[in-house]
Amino acid sequence: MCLSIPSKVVKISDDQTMCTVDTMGVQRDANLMMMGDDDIQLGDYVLLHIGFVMNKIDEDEAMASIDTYKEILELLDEEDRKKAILEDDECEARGEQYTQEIKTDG
Amino acid sequence: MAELELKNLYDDFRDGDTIKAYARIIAEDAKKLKNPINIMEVCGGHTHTIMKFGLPQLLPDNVNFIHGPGCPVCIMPKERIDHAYVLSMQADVILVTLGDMIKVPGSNGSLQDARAKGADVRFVYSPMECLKIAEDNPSKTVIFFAIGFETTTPMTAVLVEETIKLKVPNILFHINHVTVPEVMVELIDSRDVHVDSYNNRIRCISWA
Repeated sequence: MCLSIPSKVVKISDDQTMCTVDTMGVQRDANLMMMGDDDIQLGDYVLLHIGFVMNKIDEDEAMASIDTYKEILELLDEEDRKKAILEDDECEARGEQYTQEIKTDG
Repeated sequence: MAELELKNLYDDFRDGDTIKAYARIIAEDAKKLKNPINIMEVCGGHTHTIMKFGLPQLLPDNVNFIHGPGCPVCIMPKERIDHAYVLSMQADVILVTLGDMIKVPGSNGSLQDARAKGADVRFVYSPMECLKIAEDNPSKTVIFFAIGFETTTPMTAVLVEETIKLKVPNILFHINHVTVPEVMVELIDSRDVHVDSYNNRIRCISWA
């Protein structure tokens, strides 16, 4: 139950106690009463928990975080990447069933 | 910097190639470890995710996950569920709780069983739905069976505040909120099992 779901604010009620958020194409209402006045604006990305907006996601921080996360790919050259994927595919811990699937897929 | 889109927050952290690259580097680094590393996740939601995405298989043998103190649903004493069950079986009561509590068994059965026996038990996504249920059913008493750690307690508090502010006469509360720090202190102090890092959503405590 402790999962937060990233969503985008698409509508805010006149009294600013409720908003409508888009969670990957699904729209639903969320409560704004845990947030301060004017904390949340249209277009903000937020985290939800049991129907309440809990946090605003800092856009620049999220992008920086994603960029940093992906830097790893630039550090490895193409050959390394192929090797990494191959090694993972052959990892024993994957179990027999997975290996069979790989072989079947050619 | 490009503009952030909602799908970035979902897909970009799940990119297979990136994850495999990190797994490889972790595996390399882990070879240098003198002792295994034990990581304890505090929340049951994390346990679920760790299992769902096969992290124990992805990571090397000397990086271990130890499953932690659990979630507010799993740790609920049976008596508290029994109380909720008895409350739900009373006449003119609508017992409302979060969906997580549906199948958790008490001495007499789960709330789902109570519902099968005719009790009006309703599962909601948000505690605030109690206000609408109370308004729609003025002749009934709505009892909110409140559960959750610190992350969920404030939402019950908002419902309490609104109930008082709007003078709603027919909402009562069965409060079962619990706090995490006590059990963390116990875990850290006991040191029966050496844990290198405790992970939860809010912070990560670790020592060398």
